[in-house]
Amino acid sequence: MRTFSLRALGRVGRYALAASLLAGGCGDDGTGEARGPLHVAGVIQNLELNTERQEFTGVAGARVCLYPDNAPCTTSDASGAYLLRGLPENTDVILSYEHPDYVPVLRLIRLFETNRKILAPSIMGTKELAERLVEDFDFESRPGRGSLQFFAMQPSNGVLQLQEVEGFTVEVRDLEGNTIRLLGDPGEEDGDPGPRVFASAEGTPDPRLTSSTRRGVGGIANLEPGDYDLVFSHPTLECGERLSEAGWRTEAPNAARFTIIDGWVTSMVGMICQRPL
Amino acid sequence: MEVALSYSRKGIARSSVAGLTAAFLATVGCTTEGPGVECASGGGNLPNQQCIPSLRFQDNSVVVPLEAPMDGEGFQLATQGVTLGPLDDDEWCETLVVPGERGVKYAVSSFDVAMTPHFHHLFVAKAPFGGAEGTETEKLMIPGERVRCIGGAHVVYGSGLVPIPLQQGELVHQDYPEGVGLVVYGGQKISVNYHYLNTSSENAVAKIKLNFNGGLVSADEQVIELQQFGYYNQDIQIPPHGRYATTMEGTFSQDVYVRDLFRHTHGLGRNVPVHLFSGPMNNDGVGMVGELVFTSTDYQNDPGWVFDPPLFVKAGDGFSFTCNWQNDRDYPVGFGPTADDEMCMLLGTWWVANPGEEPDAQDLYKFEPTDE
Repeated sequence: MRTFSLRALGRVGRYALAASLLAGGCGDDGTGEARGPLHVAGVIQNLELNTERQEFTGVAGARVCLYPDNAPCTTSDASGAYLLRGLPENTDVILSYEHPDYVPVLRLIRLFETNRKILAPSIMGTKELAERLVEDFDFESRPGRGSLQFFAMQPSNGVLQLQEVEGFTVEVRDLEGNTIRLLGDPGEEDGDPGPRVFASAEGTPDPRLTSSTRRGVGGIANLEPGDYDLVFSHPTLECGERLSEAGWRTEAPNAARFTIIDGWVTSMVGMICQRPL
Repeated sequence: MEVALSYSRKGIARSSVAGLTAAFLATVGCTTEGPGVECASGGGNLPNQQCIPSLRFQDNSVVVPLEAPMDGEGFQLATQGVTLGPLDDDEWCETLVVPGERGVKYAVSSFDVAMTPHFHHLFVAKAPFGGAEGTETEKLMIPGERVRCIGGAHVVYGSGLVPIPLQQGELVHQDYPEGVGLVVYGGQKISVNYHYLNTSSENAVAKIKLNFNGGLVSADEQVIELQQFGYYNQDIQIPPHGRYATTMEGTFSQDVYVRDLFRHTHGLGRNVPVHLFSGPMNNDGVGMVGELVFTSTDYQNDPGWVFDPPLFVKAGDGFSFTCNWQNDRDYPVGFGPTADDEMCMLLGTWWVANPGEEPDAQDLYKFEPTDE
């Protein structure tokens, strides 16, 4: 059974893990010109389907860069850990993750002076896996388009960690506020972009689902390059607390701004949903 | 390195003990009469704080001085433990199993915890229990297996674990409030997540024993279970040589009794006043801050408050708390796990006020402010 989840997103988990990496001294390979005083640390993990237990393996040798400058850059070590120094502050940035065997991924991060950022694990899927999914789901990735991967998390019970949100849905709007209709939406059987896909309870991508399962993740394929807002909604929870490494700010509290670039997957655009006060 | 907080650090002093010649000195009771044993000083304004003996072990001792409960009065679970080299900083999870025939019901009314030195945190949780085959979480947990779980048990066992409110310490006895307990079942899997930081120059052993004190009850006996909650505020942006304050409000979704509150910041934290709060749902959409409950004046020595009697809080009401910081460093400080970072949390234990009602998760998060 193919499964995936974002369980490793627990806040303590990400910081503790990355803090240990920092202590271990994984590091900057000195490529490129430093642009500022901030750094980002994290781990790149292989997206493994068919795993019932969360035993992630790191992606070694991935190139991590400030996009689109390709500088500064660093390379992940044998455990998938990286430390990218010399990033600018008080700005929204894009980080790129590239590896010959993996589908290239982007992450959108807001950097400001008090978040010398330690990221949740960044997930990369192999090109082989992507091809298998294309075969299994009769999915066609269109040239000149990019894709989005999104998630929503909620407070867990009594501990400093987050867990996946079941039952949320998303819509994509352009910057004028117009809803982008997606393949699979009612009346959009032949349209594009899309489809919108949620992971089933077993972790299998399922375009028939209209809201998230307990896996709390989904994706949208074949979006045209450009900037969009991803609007989150849930029948009982309020979506509105944003993570600075999971998309950019918008005026609407329940929306995260993201960008799509031709040939890339913009990953981990997300939101916190929790019960209203 | 500060990675995660202990739920209860109610002023348990870790005073050193002179003249240690045995592998350990096990003395119970609140006394300073026994050689090498000190009574942990209170520190703070906890009116009901019990005096807890503070013990010291030899650094490389594997002996944890805790006898198992007598037959019929509970059971003991013990980790297999792990040896840490000098300056090792590591975190592990072990799966232990409640003894007895699968499905028999225990009502636990108190705990004893014994830990070898150099612990940093202890989180104990139970897997959801169900059916002959077990729940999904149980299937992920292999009895007797010790796995590295940096960041917490959820990293390896998933987010379905249910925390067990426990204090940590070298030897701690913790009574649950009268009429409140914990239910576990024979065969249920228990996660023991421990983070140790061996600051010594010698090997040390991380080992933990837990006594679950209580007895078997009939399957249909109602037990009100103690819960814990957290309001986690990560809106922290402290300028260099400056002050910063941030306030967060939280409410409960059901009528509850609150037993205690506990503030967690790191070393730059100053006073944290905690007020009652009546949420928007009880006030036509506008939350109202009420009377001052207490002010925590020190992040180490005055972190908490115990309500005696427990405080009734109706659904839609809760607490408002403000973290204040004074930054004397040359650089800004934000949220993070290390001593170089800061945190802002209000934690506590509670139980449902209406017997028979299922407890909801009562945790809330606040991240960065919407407007910077």
